[in-house]
Order: sequence, then structure tokens, then C-alpha cells
Amino acid sequence: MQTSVHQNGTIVTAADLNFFYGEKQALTDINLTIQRGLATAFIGPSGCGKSTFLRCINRMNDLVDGSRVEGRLTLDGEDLNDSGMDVIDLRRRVGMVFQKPNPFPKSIYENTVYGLRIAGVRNRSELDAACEHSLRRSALWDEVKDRLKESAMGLSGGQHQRLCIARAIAVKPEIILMDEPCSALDPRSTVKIEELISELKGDYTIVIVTHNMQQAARVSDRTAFFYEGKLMEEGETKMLFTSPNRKETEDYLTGRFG
Amino acid sequence: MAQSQRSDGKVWIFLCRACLILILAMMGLLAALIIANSFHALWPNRIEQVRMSTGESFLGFPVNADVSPEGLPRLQYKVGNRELNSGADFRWVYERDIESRDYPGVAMLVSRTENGDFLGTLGGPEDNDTGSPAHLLDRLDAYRARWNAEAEPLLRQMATLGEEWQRIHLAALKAGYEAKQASAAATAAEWESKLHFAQERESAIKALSERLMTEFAQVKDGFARESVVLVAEDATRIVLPLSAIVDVSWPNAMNPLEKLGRFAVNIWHLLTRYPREANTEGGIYPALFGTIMLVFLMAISAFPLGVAAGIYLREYAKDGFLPRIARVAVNNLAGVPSIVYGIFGLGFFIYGMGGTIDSLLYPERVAAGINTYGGGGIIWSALTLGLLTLPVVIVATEEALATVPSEIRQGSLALGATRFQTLVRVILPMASPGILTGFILAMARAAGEVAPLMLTGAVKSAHSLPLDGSWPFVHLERKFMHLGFHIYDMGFQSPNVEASKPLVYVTALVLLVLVFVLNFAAISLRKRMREKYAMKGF
Amino acid sequence: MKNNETSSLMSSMTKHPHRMKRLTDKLAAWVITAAGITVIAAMFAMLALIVREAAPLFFPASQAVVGAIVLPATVATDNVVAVGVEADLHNQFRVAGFILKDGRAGFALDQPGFAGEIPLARLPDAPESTSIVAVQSDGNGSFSILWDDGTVSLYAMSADFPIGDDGIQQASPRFTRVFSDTIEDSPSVPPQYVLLRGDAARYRIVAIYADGTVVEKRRTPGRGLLGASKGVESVRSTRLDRGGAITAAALNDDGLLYLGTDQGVLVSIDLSGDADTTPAISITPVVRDRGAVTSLSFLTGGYALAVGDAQGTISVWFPRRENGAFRLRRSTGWDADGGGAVYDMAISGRDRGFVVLDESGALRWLYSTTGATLLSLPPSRPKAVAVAINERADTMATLHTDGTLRFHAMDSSFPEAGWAGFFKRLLYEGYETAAFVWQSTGSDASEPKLSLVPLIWGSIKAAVYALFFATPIALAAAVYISQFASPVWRARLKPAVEMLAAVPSVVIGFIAALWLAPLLERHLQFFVQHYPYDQRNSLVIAIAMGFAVIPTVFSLAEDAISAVPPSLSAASLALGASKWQTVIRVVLPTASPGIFTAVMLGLGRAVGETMIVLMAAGNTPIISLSPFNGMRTLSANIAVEMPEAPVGGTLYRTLFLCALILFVLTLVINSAAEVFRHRLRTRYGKV
Repeated sequence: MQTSVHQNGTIVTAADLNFFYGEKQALTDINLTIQRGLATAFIGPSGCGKSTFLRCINRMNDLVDGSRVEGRLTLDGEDLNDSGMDVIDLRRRVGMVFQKPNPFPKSIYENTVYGLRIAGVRNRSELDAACEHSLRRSALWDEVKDRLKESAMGLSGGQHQRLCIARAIAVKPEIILMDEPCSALDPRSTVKIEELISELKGDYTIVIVTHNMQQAARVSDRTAFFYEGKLMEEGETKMLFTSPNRKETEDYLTGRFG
Repeated sequence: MAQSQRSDGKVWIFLCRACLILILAMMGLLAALIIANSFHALWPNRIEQVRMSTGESFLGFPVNADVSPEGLPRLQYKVGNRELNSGADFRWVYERDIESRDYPGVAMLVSRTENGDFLGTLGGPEDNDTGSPAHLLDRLDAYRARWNAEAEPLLRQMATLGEEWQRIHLAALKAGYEAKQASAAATAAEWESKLHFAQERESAIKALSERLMTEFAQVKDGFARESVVLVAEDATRIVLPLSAIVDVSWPNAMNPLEKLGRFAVNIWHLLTRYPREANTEGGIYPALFGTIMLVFLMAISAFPLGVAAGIYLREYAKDGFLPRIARVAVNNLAGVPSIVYGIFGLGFFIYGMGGTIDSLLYPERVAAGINTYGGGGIIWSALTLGLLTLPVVIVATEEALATVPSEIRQGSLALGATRFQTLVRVILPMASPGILTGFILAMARAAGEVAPLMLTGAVKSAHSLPLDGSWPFVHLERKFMHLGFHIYDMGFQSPNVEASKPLVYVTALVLLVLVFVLNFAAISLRKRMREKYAMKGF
Repeated sequence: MKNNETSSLMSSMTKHPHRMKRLTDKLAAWVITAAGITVIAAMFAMLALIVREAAPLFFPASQAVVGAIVLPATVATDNVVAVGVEADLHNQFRVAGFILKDGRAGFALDQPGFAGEIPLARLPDAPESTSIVAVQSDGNGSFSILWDDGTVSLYAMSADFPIGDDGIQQASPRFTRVFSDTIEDSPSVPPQYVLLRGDAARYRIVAIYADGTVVEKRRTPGRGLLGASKGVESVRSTRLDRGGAITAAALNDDGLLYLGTDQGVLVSIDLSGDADTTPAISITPVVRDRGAVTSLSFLTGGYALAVGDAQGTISVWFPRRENGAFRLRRSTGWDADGGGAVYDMAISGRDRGFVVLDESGALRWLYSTTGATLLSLPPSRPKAVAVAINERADTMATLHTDGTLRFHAMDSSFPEAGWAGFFKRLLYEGYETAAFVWQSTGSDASEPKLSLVPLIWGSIKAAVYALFFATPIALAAAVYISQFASPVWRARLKPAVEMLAAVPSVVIGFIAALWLAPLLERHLQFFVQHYPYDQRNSLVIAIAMGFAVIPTVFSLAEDAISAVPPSLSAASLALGASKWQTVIRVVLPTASPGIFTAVMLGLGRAVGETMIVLMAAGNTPIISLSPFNGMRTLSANIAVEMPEAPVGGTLYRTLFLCALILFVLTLVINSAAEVFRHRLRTRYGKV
């Protein structure tokens, strides 16, 4: 599995994807591709299904009882919902950063290398190198390099989230999913995270769900607008924001609802 | 708007506060009673010399004071010297009949192996070599040294022989039984020869121990001649062999430091010595040992199962018919009286499992009417108590697991960890303070339970510990002594409740200390682990 | 990151067996699931075992015919004067013995195909060339025989069942003569009935004549000169001149003689006094409409008397000594069921059960204490004319008109238990009135009394008294801590009170018994003088157990009160109410479901408490409201009785039933509390 980065190419494809929580249908006929090496933003009002779709990509929805997928969703051409798909391995290949920063009550070092340890990496030097690399790329290294063995609980909220990003990067995922990563953070930390996303997006594919349209406009290359479980519109961010094709998109962008 | 006094409720608030204070006062009273009585039991108290208006005088320890039904104040004294007072070592006297009370320095207290304590004085030079206390103590030391050198080894040999004889006897029993049961002639012959061998061994051991016993008897005779003359207050002289003396002291002649030393020695003796005279004298070592071993066995049987069940219910089964029934069952079983567990332990563990084990492994003993596992034993008591604490441990585990935020769980899974890895690396460490605390609290509660033990293996007197030097070292089928059961037995089944009262208080104190140590361990553990795993900033 | 570092990391990750990780996961899931299910199964197993041990108490009695022997043709049924039966411990082998008029006896072994020879032999030690004039038997293996030469003998039937050298079990039955004597000075007419009791050293013989003369001869061991033991004999006679013709007689070991007459009265003659006194005689009518008494038998224990009459009614009577004479008091009875007069009775040697055979050949198995009919067998064809049971009452033999002897295996299935035994007010032997009594005994002689009512009463009384003491104090303290104490004090005092929960109940119990009980007795002298007073009584329990339960009630009540949203209090205060008024009118009502739960859970805990009650309640199973009496609870009962109860026996199973009742009680109380706790939560959902 190479994490070589192609500037072009599709990494995730959704074809006629439908998703159900029990009887309730959360996603209807989603057809979408996500491009490698770009940052794609999912926007839309609350409950529109953007987070649900995000969680389909690493099959975190499986943890909810009664969830059901119909249609096709592929990563690198592999059908995610095929019975032969190894979910555990999938989740290593697809990184996730949550809305509420959730570092483990362990040391900073252990947090960062957690994903590697569970994948079976034991070599100390490999872990050390990966730790430093990930923390550097998350712009956290300088702040924590002297206290790697201290508890991660002592960091600030923004630092927590950057640690979570470092943790996600450490396992060299092909794609990083971010579910409203800044909504629990203060403005200063938000800026830092947004800077980080811009830096990372060349080497990693990033999908970010956000309810903050300006944030989407700032960091993403492409944007998809979800509404009531359907994909309304998707395209280059600049185009979507300045001249949206659909009325619903325009209404949302201009603040008429949501 | 004027508030009437009544609506202020000041009186009621006062009453509420009074109730709270009442509770605390009752707790304090309980503690004070136990501590004071224990202290009194262990402290070297002064011996009083009481002169009555009739001219009679006696030595004794004042132990109680009340008012007789006629309204006269009276005091109860422990006067010891049971054999001289037709079996009574306590007496009541009316205060008005007491002329004087004194504390003579020569008054001595001798605790003995039989007939309880002796209060009196040392016989003068005309009776003993010299009449001085120091000389007596020297003699006692020398005596004990000689005893340890000459008699102790014999006793130990006899004890070892006795254990071996037990083993051989059981082996012979088995050989005889197998010989009868064998279908093939060759097997029967084999067992027959084993039986012969065992029987020969038995008689050899018997002969050897006979020899040892005569030798010991001779040694003992020699020692028995060593004796001391003691004088009771009423001038009765008794000749007490040194072998019957457990301890000698002159409490009235001790200075505070010596008394403190004596106090410490008394505590030590209490915790390390065996009881004497039907649990009315001596120490509580076997009961203490039994209680601790019981708690330990109970812990290792309840902890893994309880935690696993809690993890199962919380992490693996989650919802569905079966787990919901299970939770209802667990919650209700937590409230079931402990005696019900006891009767189940008797019926299922002892008669059921124990009986089956016996009939499978020791059929020869069953035929001879000997119970090995089919009667009470420490293992069955431990399992019964383990079952009793299981619901509590399960609930504590479930609740501790519930405190782990779901985003932590999700974070781990999102990184590609399996459910098991997430459990072991993230969830359990976070839940462990709660689990351990709940577990230790459950253990503390079970350490104080007595009712189920009465049915499953606790006895008033066990001649050997469940853990000792004879193979296989751990004897799970043995009956055992227990602090709580000891209290019950001493206080209510004892032939001499008055005499055992001090020991009951002390045993209660030791049990309380044990229980509270466990409680505090739990609480401090919880505090320490909370700090370690604290989620700041949430 | 350098490329080679990247690739080595990647290979590290893929090299390590992914399979191992998944395997561990699967294994762990397996082990944990197994543990979880085992634990839960264990808990259900507990309930199942207790029910399984207790359930048989309520199973009905049963019997089955397991064999039949045809007596040889030479033995006519009419010649059989007495029947006895014995069985081995496992009720696999049965043997019936019968005595013939000519003094010979034989045994029939319950073996299939045993139709051949039954050797007949004269009864051992029987007088020469005599035949039997009369036989009295209680149907339980002892026979009082009157020979035609005036000799009277007592014979007993017994049997061993040794395993022979060939490994096959055999039956070895025998008749043994216990003692023998003659009746001198008798009228020329032989007696109508003879009753013999005792053994060779000490015995009593009563001969009853048709004209109402009763002659008693007794022999007591004595010492002759020079220390040789020599019996002392004495004879006295008395005459009965009223009551009617004698139709039945029974004698017990104490010397109480009862005669039934054709006028339906019982005459009691007290022969227990000194030989030179005149025995007291009293008469009691026992049969309705003055029908004749047809059968009399003392039940095991020699106290209760079973009376059968011509109409087929059966009744049981207790003698009561009043002013030197014996009065009879009816304890229980069974109506006639259309089978005609009571013909024969056989009593169980083990309990107060007995079998009654009536004229039509119908059999009833009755149990005196509870007045129950254990079994009712319709008449068989050909009908039965004699019945005998063995000592253990697990085997019955019936002799039928066609000369067959039928063997029945019987299972009384715990007759002293059951609904009546446990919950009905019964008149027990020796008691003035019917009562609820628990008194399990070890011996067969006294009647087991297994009423659960005093125990249930005790458990409830103890719990309720304890809560009367604990609830006001705990609630008041909870209110204070929650609403009026400063947070600093609250943080300190709440855990302090909760620490009380850690104190083992055995410690509280012993302090209550050894310190509190004497203290109370000293200070309550007024009550001690004027009322029945036990030192260890309900008042002591109320205080001690209440004290033990306080932390439970306090803790939960405090939680409930503190959970009331402060906004409610704020609203009340803002309207000008005082703090106290707010607490009483707003906070407490809102918290009331939680407070109720707290009290209920305290009650649950109190019901199950064992050690405190065991040590400080006196352990007497009585029903009384007085706080100055002791009690015995279900839990203490189990602890006290279990060590002595034989495994699988009635007492053993009854104790399991006690455990089941406790289980159910606490289940009900705790479930009710849970329901209320739920309601509390949903209520706050609305708020």
C-alpha cells in the first residue's frame, strides 16, 4: 500500500449510495467522487447527512445498531461494504478527527504512536521517528518536544485537537476525515487548525465536514453541499460559492436557512 | 410580612440537626465502646485489693458497675482463681460493703493454660528458692529455654509423625477400598500389597510415636517438677507447675513505660497466639489468618468473573433480551440476603459439587463416612462469598465502564484498533479506578459477613490452618476460623460468656480495623487513580 | 520523513500478523462472553436450586402397588389373624408376615413369581398346643396375642436385609416374642381384648372382659435381696359399669387405657398411677348420634388417639389432664366417605400418619397434625380386609379376601409440610388452643411443628420496628445535611455517616446483645415488673437493626432530596417562603418518590438481616406485637436450624423454602423500589 500522493485521481467514489438508520433514511442516492490530494468540504444545515456520509467512509456507522447501506462506496476502487473488506484495516487507512478532541488519558508520546502500536509496530526507533514526524507535521512538536512523556491531559483544547491530528497522521492514512474539527475550539486554535489543513492537504486527501461556510471557503479546494440527505451540488469551492447552480445552495450560502 | 415563629421552623431544623448529631453520636458511642473495652482488655490493669467490712479481702479487677434491682450500687470484679471459687471467676459486691481498696505492689497476675487467670502473690522464701519476682522470671526464662531445647523438638517430631500417619491412614483406606473394588485379580493384588505396605507404615509410625510419647512424658515429668508456690489472697497455697504458666506480671509495680511495653506485648500475643480454653483466653491468630485467607480466596474467585461479566454486559452484549434479563437479575441479586447465598452454598457447593468430587476422587473416604470436600471448607465459603459479591462487582464494572466517554472509544476504533485492543489499551485503564474501588468495597463488605459462613465451613475451633507446612500446603477443603464467626461464637455459644467478653470486644476491634483498612484502601486508590487518569478540560 | 523510513514503517505495520490481532480479538470476545454467560447462568442456577429443593414439600403423597403374593391354598384368608410388613432401607425388598389362628406364622417375600412354598412354622416360644383366641395389633409390627390356655404374649415382627456372600440381597424376617405371661384370677370366660406393652423387664398387660372387668398386671424391675434383679408384679382390677358394651381398646406406654363402646363413648382408665390406687375413670362421648366406636389406636408418641366409628368417621383426640382425670379434646377429624364402618387401622412409626381401612375395602391415608388426607384409595376387588405398614411408613401390605397379599410402595412426601402445615393454625399435641407454632425437633416422639407464620411475622416485625426507629432519624438527618448544612460540612459529614454502612452487622449485633440489652433491662424496670419481658427483645432489635439500616435510608434519601432542582427552591423563596417552609412544601414532596425508594430499600435490607437478629432477638418463634418480646426471623431460623437438618429431609427442605420466601420478599420490595425510582426519573424528565 503506497501512500504516494497523486495530485490527480479519484480516491473515494460513491455511487447511488443510500444509508438507513433503521427505518429512517439518512442518505438518498449519493453520487460523489473525492479527489486525491485535495481538501474537500461537506457543508449543509444540521441533520443534512454530511457527517453520516463522512462516517460511511470509514464505516464508523457500523457501531450504530440498525444501520444499513445500499449502493456502492469505494476507496481506491475497493468496495467498502463488500463482505471481504477488513474494517479494522480500513480504519487504519482512513484517519478521523472528531468534533470533540478525544486524546487518550496517556502520555503525548503514547497518544501519537497509539495507532502504530495497535498495528503491531514495536521497534522503538521507528515509533520515535514516527512520533516526531507526526508532531512536526501537526505543528505541535516545538510545544511538546520536552514533555513527550507527560500526560496529554495537560494540553489546551487546541493542542488536544492537533494531537489528535498527529495521532491520525502517524499511521499514514490515505485520507483524513475531519468531522467539524474546530467547532469546540476557540478562534485562535481554529486558525491554527485551518493552517494545518492547508499544509497537509498536498500530502494527504482531506475531507472536512463543517457548518462554518467561511471555513469551507478558506481551506477547501472542492465543496459538496448536502441537504436533507441528498447531495445538492458539488464542485470547485470558488465556483460553488460565487455562482452556485442550485437555488437551495444559494439560499443556504446567503443565510436564508440553516 | 411578618413571619411567625412557627413558619420559621427553627424548632424543626433544630430537631433535624439533632437527628444528625444523634447518628454521629451513636457511631461514636459504638466506636468508643469497642475501643474502650478493647483497651481495657489489653492494657495491664491494676489489681485491686478489696477489703470488705466482713474482714474478708480479695484481689480482683473491677469490670462492671451497676445498680442491683433493690437499688443498691454494686461492682463486679474478675477475681480469677477459678478452681478455688467453685468455677466462678467473677463476683459481685455491694459498694457499701467495701471498706477499702488498695493496689499492693506484690499482687501478681498469672495467666495459665488451665483454669484461667490466677491473682495472688508469690510464695515466700519458705516455699520457693527465693521469693523475688526477678528470680521467678529468670526461672521461667531458663525453663522455657530448656523446654525449647528438649521438649519442643519432640513435639514437632510428633506433629510431623501425626501428619504422616494421617496421610498413610488415608492411603491405606484407599488401598483397601480399591482392592475390594478391583475387577481384575492382578489389580486387586497390587492394591493389596499397597495396603500391606501402608499398614506396615502405620504400625511403624505408631511404634515410633509411642516411643516419642514415652520420651516426651519423661521429659515432661522432669519439667513438671519445676513449679512455683503461689498464694491467693485468702492464704490458700497452690503449687503451679511452670509448664502451666503462660504469662506472669506484677501490674501494680509497673511504671508507665513498662505498662506501655506490656500493652504492646499483649497486642502482639493477641494477634499471633492461638486461643485457649474454648476461646475464652489466648489469642485470635487462627481467626485472623482465616479471615484474611478467606478474603483473598474470595477476591480471586469474584474478581475475574465479575469484571468479565461486567465487560460482557457493557461492551459485548449491549442490548437484546438476554442482557436485559441479566441486568435485572444482577440488580435484584445484589439485594438478596446473605443467608440465602449461604444456603445455596450448602446445597450446591457442599452437598452437590463437594459430594460429587468426593464420590469421584475419594470414594474410599465416603464409604468410611469421612467428608473431604463434601462438608464445609474454606473453598466453599470463599466461593459462596464470591457469589455474594459478584452482583456488586458486576454493577461497579458496568458503571465504571459507562464513565468512559464514547468519543474515546470511537477514537480508538477509528484508528484501526480491534474491540479487544480498545478495551485493554484504553477503556479498562480509564475504568480501572471505578472497577477496583467497587471491587475493594465489595470485599470489605463481604469480609464482615458471617451468616453464610456458618453454613459453609467456619468453625469455633480448627486444629490446623488452611495454609501450612504440610503437603500440599494449601488445604482448601479444611474448615477454618473467622473473626466474625468468632465474635458470634464467643459471645453466644461460649460456656463462660463473662470471661470471653473482653476477647469479643478485641476481636470486634480487629475485624473493624480490617474492614476499615480495606475501605480506606479503596478510597485512596480511587483518589490516586482519578488524579492519574483525570480528564481535565472537559 | 525520509522515504526509507516511510517504507520500513509501512513494512513494520504490514509484517506484523494482522491475523494475530484479529485472532486475539475473537478469542477475547469468546472468553468474555463465556464468563458473562456463566455468571448470569450461575445466578439463575441459584434460584433454580432453591426452588428445586423446596418444591417437593408441596408434592402430593403417592402410592403404587408393586407386587402381590397369593397365599397358599392351605392358608385360608379367614385364618389369618394378623399381618405385618417390613422393607429394606431403599424400599426395594419387601416382606410380609402373617400369623394364623393355629399359632403358626409365615412370611411372603415380594419377589416376582414367588408362588410356591411359604414355609409355615409355629411362632417361636409359643405355648404348646394352643391356638390364638384374640390378637390386638396397631398395624405396625407388634401383636398382643391371647392364647387359649390363658397365656398372653407380645410379639414383634422385624427383618434384616443382609447382602449374602454371593452379593445378592436376601430377606431375613422373624417374629420375636418380647415377653409372655399369664393372667391369673381371671373369670372363666377368656378376655375379649388383651393389650400388652413394654419389654421383658418392665411391662403392662391389660385384659378386658365382656362384662366390663378390666384387669391390669404389671411388672416393674426391682431389686431383690442380695442385689439380684427381680421383677415386682402387681395386679389390680376394676369394673366398668356404664357406657355400653366394649367394642375397641387401646393402651399407651404411660398406662392410659381407652375403651370404645357401642354407644359411641370413650372410656378412659388411667392406669399410670401406683399399683395400689384406684384408677380414675372418665367417659367422653365421641361419636355423633351415638354410633359405635369400631376402631381405636394411639398414634406414634402415645399421645393422640385415633377413633374410627361405625359410620366411617374418623377423629383424633388429645387427652388433657384436668383435676386428676383425663378429659378428651377433639383435635381433627375426617368425614365418612361412604365406605361403611372403620374396620382396621395401621399407624406409622415415623410420624403422626395412619392408614384406615373401612368395611368396603377403601383405604385412606391420613395425617393427624394437619388434618390432611394424604391419599384415598377406592376399594379394590377383591376387597382388602387387613392392612399393615412398616415403621418408616414407606411400605404397606394389604390382605384381600381371595388370599392375595398386595405390597404397596408409599411416599408420604413430607406430610408435616405443605400448605396446611406451614400456614394453617393447627392444634398440636399438648396445646390448649390451635396456634401457629414453629418447633422443629430431632426426636420422633414429639410432633414436628413447622408453621412458617411465626417466622414470617418475626421477619416483618423486626424490619418494621427497625424502620420505625431508623426512618425519622435518617430522613431528618438527610434533610438537614442536604438543605441546611453548609457545603463544607456536607462534604465531610455525608461520607462519615455512610461509613456506618461498612460496619459488619455481627459487631452491631453483639454490642446490642451484650451491652444494649442489659442496659435497657436495667432502665426499664417498670416494664420488667409489670409485663412479660425478655432481655433480648424487639426494642433492642429496633434500635440495633435500625442503626444498621440508617446509612442506607440516609444516603438514598439525601441523594433524592439534593436532586431536587434548586430552581424550585429558588422560586419558593422568591415568593417569600422561609427555608423550612420551602423544604416542607416544595422540596420534600418533589423528592418523595426517591425518599420512598430509600425507605423501601432500607426495608429490603432489614428483612434479610441475619446476624443482628440471631444475636439480639432471643430467637423464640412467637407471634406478638409487644416490643418487649423476642422473635425469630426467617433468616435467623435458617442459620440456627440448618447445621442440624438431615440432608433431603423435611426440615432441610423447609429451610430452603424459608430462603425462597426471603428471596421473593426482597425481590418484591426491591422491585417496587426500582419502579418508583424509574418514576422519579421520568418525573424529572418532565420538569
